[in-house]
Amino acid sequence: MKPFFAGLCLLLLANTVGAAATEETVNLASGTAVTSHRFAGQASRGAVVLWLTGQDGRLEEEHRAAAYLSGLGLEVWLTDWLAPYFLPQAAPSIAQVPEADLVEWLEAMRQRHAGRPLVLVASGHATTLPLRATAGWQSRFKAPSPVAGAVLLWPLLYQDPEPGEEPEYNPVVTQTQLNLAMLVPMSSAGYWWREAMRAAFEAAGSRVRLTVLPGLRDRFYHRGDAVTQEQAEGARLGEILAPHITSLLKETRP
Amino acid sequence: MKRALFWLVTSLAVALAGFPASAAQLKPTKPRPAPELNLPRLDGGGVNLAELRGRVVLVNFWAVWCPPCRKEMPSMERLSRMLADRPFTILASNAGESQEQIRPFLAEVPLTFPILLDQDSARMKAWRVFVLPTSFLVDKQGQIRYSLSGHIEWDAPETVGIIEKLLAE
Repeated sequence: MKPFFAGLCLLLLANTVGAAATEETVNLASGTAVTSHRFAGQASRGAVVLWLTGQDGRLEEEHRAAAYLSGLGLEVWLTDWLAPYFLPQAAPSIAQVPEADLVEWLEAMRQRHAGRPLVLVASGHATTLPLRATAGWQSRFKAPSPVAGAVLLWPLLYQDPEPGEEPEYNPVVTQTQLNLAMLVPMSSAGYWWREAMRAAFEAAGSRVRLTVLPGLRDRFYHRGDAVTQEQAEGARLGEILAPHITSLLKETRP
Repeated sequence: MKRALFWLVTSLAVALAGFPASAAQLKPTKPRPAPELNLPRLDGGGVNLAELRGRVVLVNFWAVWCPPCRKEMPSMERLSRMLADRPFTILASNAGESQEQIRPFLAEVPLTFPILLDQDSARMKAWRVFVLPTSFLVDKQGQIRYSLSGHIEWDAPETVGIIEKLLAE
């Protein structure tokens, strides 16, 4: 591991490289073809970032961030999980992604990148995707999680909270035992409930590192009404994610 | 063929999204005592919901950074003026923002009803508010009777009708 981190540090001092992406398709037993944009890392044995998206479609900011991360030596697979099922880009569509497919795809990634640490990334409602994938994988293979951890941006994991009612979290919260990096924008309702969500994850066995993003709202890097600060931070999304990914790679599994 | 079908479905979804979504609605709730709401006002002094028995109160949780919150404020002002001579009060509890953040918005959208400062979000938690805006209608006995996550036109006839029924109790 030490040579890997030494190499990563050197790469951190290098200029950002605008890496080109290639399309990679994994064909699942269900007949679903899951296509990802793969940004090859410069370190052939380095970590692999599996970024699960879909609700908002293709976002240039995420592609730029993936290219930035690949310039640091990380291999990034940016995968739209609604497109393979022709699901509309909407929050309710996320729940319709079959867990069996998520699990099989994660296993395919594990096998393809055998011996390399995996880190998952997702935002908003899509944060259920990496959590379902890992929980389902552990349930199926009866083995410790194959991933080093997950970065969750403004996780929206409440089950349709009714105003004035105690929230119910998505059941996957109680099934998750991962190292998690939760990034919560300060200008969001989720900010006020961040500690409650952290407690829910930790009660289930996860370890949570919580980071507040000051001056930002949910979806800050792709809001139609993004203010100057949000536009600026969105442009450096990769720089925002990098240290959290690095931290997860250093941590021992819960 | 698959790609064409994908884009057809996506285009339909986007097109449908352009139509006004089914509006958020005030939902009746099982009557329950409203939590405490005793906060300082932006313009000085304080407000205690418990001292407003005998009045129907619209309790609204909002923030300047929240676009739908800002959007519904003019209709809340119109509602307030419409019912100015009735036992009706609007309390807009701001979620954790400073006066410096709130005042520029009020310069653009002047409001005459109280703006409350929930600086540490304690009230937001007590009222179990998870999205902004969230609103509650509290009856004259201090019971929550309706709730809403999202924004509406508060002076729309159907909304005023609900408030009028509470006023008539």
